[in-house]
Amino acid sequence: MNTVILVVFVLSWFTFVFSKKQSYWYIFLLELALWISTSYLAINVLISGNEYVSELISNFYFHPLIIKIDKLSAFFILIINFTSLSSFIYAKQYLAPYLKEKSAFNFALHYFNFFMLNFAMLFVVMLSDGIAFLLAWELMSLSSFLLVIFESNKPDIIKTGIKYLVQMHVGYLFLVAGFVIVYAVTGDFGFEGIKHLVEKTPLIVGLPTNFWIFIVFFIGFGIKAGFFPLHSWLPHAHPAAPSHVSGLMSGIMIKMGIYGIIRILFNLPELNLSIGIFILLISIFTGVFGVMSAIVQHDLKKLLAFHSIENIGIIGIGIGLGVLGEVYHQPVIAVLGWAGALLHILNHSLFKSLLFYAAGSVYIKTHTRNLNKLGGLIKKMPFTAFAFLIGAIAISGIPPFNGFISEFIIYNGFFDGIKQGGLAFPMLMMFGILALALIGGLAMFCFTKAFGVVFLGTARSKEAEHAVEVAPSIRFAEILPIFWIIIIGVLPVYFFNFINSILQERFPLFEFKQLAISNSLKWIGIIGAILWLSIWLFYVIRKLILKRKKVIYADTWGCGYTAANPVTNQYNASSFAANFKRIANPVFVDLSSEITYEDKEVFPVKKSYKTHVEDKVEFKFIMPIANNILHYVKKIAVLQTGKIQDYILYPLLFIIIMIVLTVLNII
Amino acid sequence: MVSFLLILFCAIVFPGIIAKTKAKFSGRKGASILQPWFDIFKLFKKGSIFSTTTSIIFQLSPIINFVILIIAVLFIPFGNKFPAFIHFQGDFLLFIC
Repeated sequence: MNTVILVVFVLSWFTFVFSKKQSYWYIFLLELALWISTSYLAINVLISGNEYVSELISNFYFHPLIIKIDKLSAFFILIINFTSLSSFIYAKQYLAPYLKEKSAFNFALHYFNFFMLNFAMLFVVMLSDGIAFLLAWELMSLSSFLLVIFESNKPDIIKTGIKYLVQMHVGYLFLVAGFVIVYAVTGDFGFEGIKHLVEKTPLIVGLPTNFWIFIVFFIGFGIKAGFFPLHSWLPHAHPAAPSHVSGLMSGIMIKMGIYGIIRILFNLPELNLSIGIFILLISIFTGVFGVMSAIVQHDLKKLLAFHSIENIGIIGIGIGLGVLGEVYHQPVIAVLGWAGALLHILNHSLFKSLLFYAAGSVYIKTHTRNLNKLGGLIKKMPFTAFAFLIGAIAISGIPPFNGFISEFIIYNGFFDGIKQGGLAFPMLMMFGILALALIGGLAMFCFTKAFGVVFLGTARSKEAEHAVEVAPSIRFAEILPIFWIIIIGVLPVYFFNFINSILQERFPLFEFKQLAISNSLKWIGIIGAILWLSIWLFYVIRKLILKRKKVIYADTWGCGYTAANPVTNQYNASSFAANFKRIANPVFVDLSSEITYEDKEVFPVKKSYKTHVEDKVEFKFIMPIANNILHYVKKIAVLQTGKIQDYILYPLLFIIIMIVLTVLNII
Repeated sequence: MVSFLLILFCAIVFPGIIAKTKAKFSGRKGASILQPWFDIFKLFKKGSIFSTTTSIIFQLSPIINFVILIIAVLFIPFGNKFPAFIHFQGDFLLFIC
């Protein structure tokens, strides 16, 4: 298997010799080899329960490059491979409209980077040595950057891409800092070193050292994952990227940040209360902030990007619950928290990639992502509408789909927590329940808006009116996640047991069979099945009854008046969220214009109205810092005169200074 | 099981009883207690008009709504002696959703 991985890596560099269409199939073959080999290793680890440790290269920068797959890595490997598979199938037809305008090199570069991203993500979860891990991490950022700027002829997209790249490197800096600190304390550069951190160091600002080390890593990984307030790259990068890339990035790449956080937490020798509370609170903020911002968006993919932030929040809430459970020595709560978080990672990778695929299908057929220009697409694109609906119900956490299952597990953990004694712990738990309920409700609201405006009603533009259904290969790519969404919804207990087998490593003494929730999950599955069956049954009955009756199709607001315009008489994305916007104003910066009427205006002239909102964190927190830095950078730019004489002068001055300093014995 | 049957029974007669009581209070004679059910049977004999703006969702949602109500009924216990038809830890979360 190791040879396969290496050979595939080397072969991928030959993509550039192929033509536009050949390069797709070439990379597909290589991907296939990669998927099969790594999934084989992962499944082996999951079944046998033994870690897979093997030396890939004996001398890699003076270290042996060792891949190590434990159950957690295996779990992530399977998700990565599945999402890449559906994403790559989707890519073929999605990129078809670009065949004319882009060169063969552009296509080869895109597919090559797709392969590299997949490869890098697999290595991120398989490596535990610090230097190699950081290299894989960097490869992941670079390849995803090149994927995002596929449409690089548009200036906006280059700008967004660079924003993304810069933020990723800020995160990278924190990761390096984190590993260096661990190295300085323990003498081991990598995840293994974290295990040797011992609680002997003094408190810093009243909090244990472990907490501060965790914070450094959390910032590094959190930028990738999109935790509040480090999320500001996410809502820009996802709309800019091609949809299969958005699906892959949102579905699994941001989970690499979560993976890092989980790995750090699993390796820390002792978890503190401060870490648990920190994760829980910041995740609650992330979740609520993400969903509140999502509701007011007009851009379909931007809306989905904010939902990624929200779901990262839910995963974080699960992790926070897990840590708190461990700190308070409540294994049941800890297991429920961790299991909920891990299952939500899987679930989110399924429904978020599905939603992005569906949004991408809408985009390639209508050439717009603006919600106010779409509408009525369920008749033109029934399958896409169906796929989006499934994704929307799943992400809102409504049974009988998978999103409910993971949230149910986390909820149960919180309810168990309330029963415990004390004041602080139950208060935290109640706070968590409230936050989850708020997030769930708002998510439902948001997807009612998204689905209603895009797919129901009447078309709001010519493009939406003339849309047609997407190609079969895209539909197939959408069916893959739909299949698992329904399966997890109907047979949740098997997936819960699967997640538990991963957690067995962490809680060796805990008996997973005694969890009352397995029984609950069994029932939820049964009820889901009953629900499906009875909906089908009643639909058939209704069909039979209506068969013999008169059925008429007529215009809405018709009433004998033929000039009614159903387009303007419907809710749009702005009006649906208008009331909510008034309540949620503190979360974002509202740049909407207002309509005013003057006193003497008897016959109102035609007016226009624009709604636009900006992310407050970005506007008030990141932009001022960036502008300040730019201000000083510009001052340094005085040196950049453009004259070659000056540039020769600088090294000369440098040499003179060096000589003088050496003579004076200063350096 | 008891609660399930009881709820179904109430659903059949309660709207009628309410209408009848209201009628009595305002001095009218009022329709039969089973009047809502006569209405339903009458409605079953009629055809449908769909707007061209609407889609399959419009036709599916009443069915889904009805099915979910029926399933939700299975979760409601009746007093201490008669537990709900389906009950497990955390069942009320499913009920709420």
